[in-house]
Amino acid sequence: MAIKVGVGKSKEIDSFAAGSLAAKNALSQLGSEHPNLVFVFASSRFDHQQLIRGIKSIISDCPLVGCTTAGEITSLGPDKKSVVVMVIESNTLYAAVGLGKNLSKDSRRAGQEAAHDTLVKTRQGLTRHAFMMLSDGLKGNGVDIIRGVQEVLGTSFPIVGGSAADDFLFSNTFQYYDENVYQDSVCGILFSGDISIGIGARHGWYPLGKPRIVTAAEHNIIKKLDGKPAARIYEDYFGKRVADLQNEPMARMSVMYPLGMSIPEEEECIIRNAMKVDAEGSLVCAGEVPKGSEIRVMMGSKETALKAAQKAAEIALGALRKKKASLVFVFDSVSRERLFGLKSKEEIEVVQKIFGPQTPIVGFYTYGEQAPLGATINLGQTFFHNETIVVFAIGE
Amino acid sequence: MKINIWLILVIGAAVLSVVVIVDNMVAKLMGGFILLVLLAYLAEVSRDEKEQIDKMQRALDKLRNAYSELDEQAKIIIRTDVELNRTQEELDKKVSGLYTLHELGKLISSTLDVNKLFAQITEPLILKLGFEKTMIFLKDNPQLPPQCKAAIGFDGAHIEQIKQANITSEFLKNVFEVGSSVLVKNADTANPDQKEWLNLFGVSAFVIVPLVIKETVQGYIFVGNTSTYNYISEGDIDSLFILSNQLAIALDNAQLYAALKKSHDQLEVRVQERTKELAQANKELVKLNKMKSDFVSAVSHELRTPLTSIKGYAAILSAGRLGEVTPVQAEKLNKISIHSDELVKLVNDLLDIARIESGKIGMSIKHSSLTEIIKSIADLFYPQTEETHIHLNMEIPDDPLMAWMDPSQISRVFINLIGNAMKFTPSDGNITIRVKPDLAYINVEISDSGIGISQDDIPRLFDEFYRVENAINAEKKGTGLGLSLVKKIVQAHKGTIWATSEVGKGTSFHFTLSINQIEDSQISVE
Repeated sequence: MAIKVGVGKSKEIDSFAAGSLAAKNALSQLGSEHPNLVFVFASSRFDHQQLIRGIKSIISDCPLVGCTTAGEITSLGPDKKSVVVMVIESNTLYAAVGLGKNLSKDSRRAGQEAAHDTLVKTRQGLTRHAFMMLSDGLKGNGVDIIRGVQEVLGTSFPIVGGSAADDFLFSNTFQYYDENVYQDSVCGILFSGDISIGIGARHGWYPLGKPRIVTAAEHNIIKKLDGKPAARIYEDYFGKRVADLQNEPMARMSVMYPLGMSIPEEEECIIRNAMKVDAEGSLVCAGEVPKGSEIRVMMGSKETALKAAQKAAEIALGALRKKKASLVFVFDSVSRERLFGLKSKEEIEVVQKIFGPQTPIVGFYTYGEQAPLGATINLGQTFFHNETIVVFAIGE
Repeated sequence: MKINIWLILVIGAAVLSVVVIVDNMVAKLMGGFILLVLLAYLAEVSRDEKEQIDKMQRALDKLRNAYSELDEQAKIIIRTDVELNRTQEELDKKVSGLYTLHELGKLISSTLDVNKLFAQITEPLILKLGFEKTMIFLKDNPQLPPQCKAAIGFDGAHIEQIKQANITSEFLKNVFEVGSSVLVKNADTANPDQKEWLNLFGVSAFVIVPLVIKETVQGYIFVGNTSTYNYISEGDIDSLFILSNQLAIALDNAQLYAALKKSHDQLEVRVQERTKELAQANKELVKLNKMKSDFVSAVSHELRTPLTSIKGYAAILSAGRLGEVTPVQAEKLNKISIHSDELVKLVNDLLDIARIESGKIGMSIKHSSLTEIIKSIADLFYPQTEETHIHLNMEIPDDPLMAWMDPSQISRVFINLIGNAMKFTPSDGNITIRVKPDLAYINVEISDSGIGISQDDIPRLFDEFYRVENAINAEKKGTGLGLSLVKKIVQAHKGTIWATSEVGKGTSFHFTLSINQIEDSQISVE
């Protein structure tokens, strides 16, 4: 049987109807009534409890994980205001699911809990391959969640995932775990068994101008760069336009010109999106920035971002070592969706082309991405990214 | 270099120690000299070092400047890039907006139904225009506030809430009075009125453009975005004005069409009413006609009884049973008898017509031989033809002809038509009975070589009491009911009857008889 996958989608107005329709579509594509695992990626517009009830009315006896998004991705391309249900049935791939709550209270502990949950559910003797996390993208510290997971599964154990989003509203995201809907939580999935995995993460932005040193920072807030209020970096580079752009949210500008944090020995910088400027002139970022980091303003273009997507897919495929990909997850930054605009379909097409038209792709637009740097064969450590496309392929 | 300094210092120190220890003049001089040389060397070396440091400092400064310049260039690049991206974004939005508007324009101009028209504006199209939410308001009546006609991106409860809110505001008044648009980019720049709208519609930015139909603002289009990422700019107003124009034209067309359809429908109703009235009048006429027939029938019955008595008594009188009858009396009594007979015949014909019309006459339709009937008719008229020297010719097929009819009634038709022909045909004239079977009918023709009938009279020939004005009719009496009766009988057999004639040459009467079976139920007269 190997790995069988079915993907269903619905845009029904009614949440219950949308859930049940997408689930039915997924099952009919799977050609079986008994999947081992259900993934749900849905727009935040739904009544989430009803949505999950709708799905459960069709697929009741099987673990379910998922989260809200800022756009849903399938092989058909990106879409909005829809629900995507993916069902997996396999006798080679084993997936254990876990949940960690209260991210805003203790993200690290939540990460540990989710990882521990999955670890105890995984049968002894199975080869563990990767841990996927779907966490609240607006609460807690993503880097701390990764630390928590690493403390349980090992520092260089591959972790991939995307932070839940809410259609660009930036108010509330939701996580789905079995028949319940959570906030401020992280869902974990530990993949094990006789499979191979490939992870590729790339953004395509390149640094410009002088590096600046973070002289004061607290979690995801950069307070001072070279001893000056951090927001000055944007004032410096955008000059008089800052006054013009005042009415526009900082996040819009930061999509095109994020900050890059260099990591020793790595090809690309890690991107940090500055979400807003607070009263003291500090930059509030979508991800942790440690004191002492070297920061530069980054610039990109659609072409370089598209090449990055291709590169990420190539790295993931390469890591499968000539094995065929059975399914591919794409965790793509909301910023990239913004950057590509009407052409966002092209990015998914580039990935699809690398894996071939028959390989099912599912994923979503995220508020943060998690993936190791460099190919997994390097046993690279996982980082928290922004503005990045993460391609996670499972093959056999 | 540092080693050299240490070396010099060590040598210097050694020389000084030697000088102190030896304490000899020459040695002192020597030592002083060596010390001087050493000091000079030391000064020279330190000068070299300073120069080198200066040189490096200059290079470093140069490098620092270059770096700063590069950073400045980076700033220029970023600013140019910002400008480029904004332009590109606006352009992309405009191109896709125009494309979508074109698509939408085609859709909405293809319908003339106002409700279907609004249904063409769908969420995917609005999203393509770059907006998440849209509501279209339109006045049904100039005196009433505009009503929500279409809502996209809102859920049912929210739509109700907006409808209930009964929105009025100063800036909306401007939209209606001046036809201006409203753009609210964000909450920070919104006035309290506009903030209320932002809250009510649940958006972070919105635009309102007027819907101008026939040069009056009849409504407006509201579009908004919830996410601050989807900003709305002045450029969007242009696209929305195009949309509002398209919609206004389509609405105007739809309204015109609706008005046209309404007047068409009204006309249709009036036509139907008139038709109904006419049908009613016709029904009345039929009813009146029946009343007339009933009346005639009743009167005829009432007349026949006394007529029989009159005839009876006249016969008794002329038979002399009540006393001698003088020749004069006998002559008058004979006249009473003749006129009574005529009256009886008239009454009988009237009665027959009335019976056929009312369907009371009992036709016994059966499959009968037409040949037999014609032969017996010929026998009947034989004495008369002998007397008047009129030739009665027959052109009938040898094979016996069968038709569905009541033989006694059809005999009456022949008797009447041949009787008429005899009346208007002079001596030595010809009367011909011609019979031609067709597919479903037998055509019977009775033609004479008589005086003929003028074309003006032909259409009225079969009317009751109609008599053609000519010398013969003036002399010979008739009821004017014969042809009318004939027509009723032929019609009762589902046949048709008509006449052709030429004055001075003769007249032909034609009628048809059915070869196929006629149901009794079909027998009726229009």
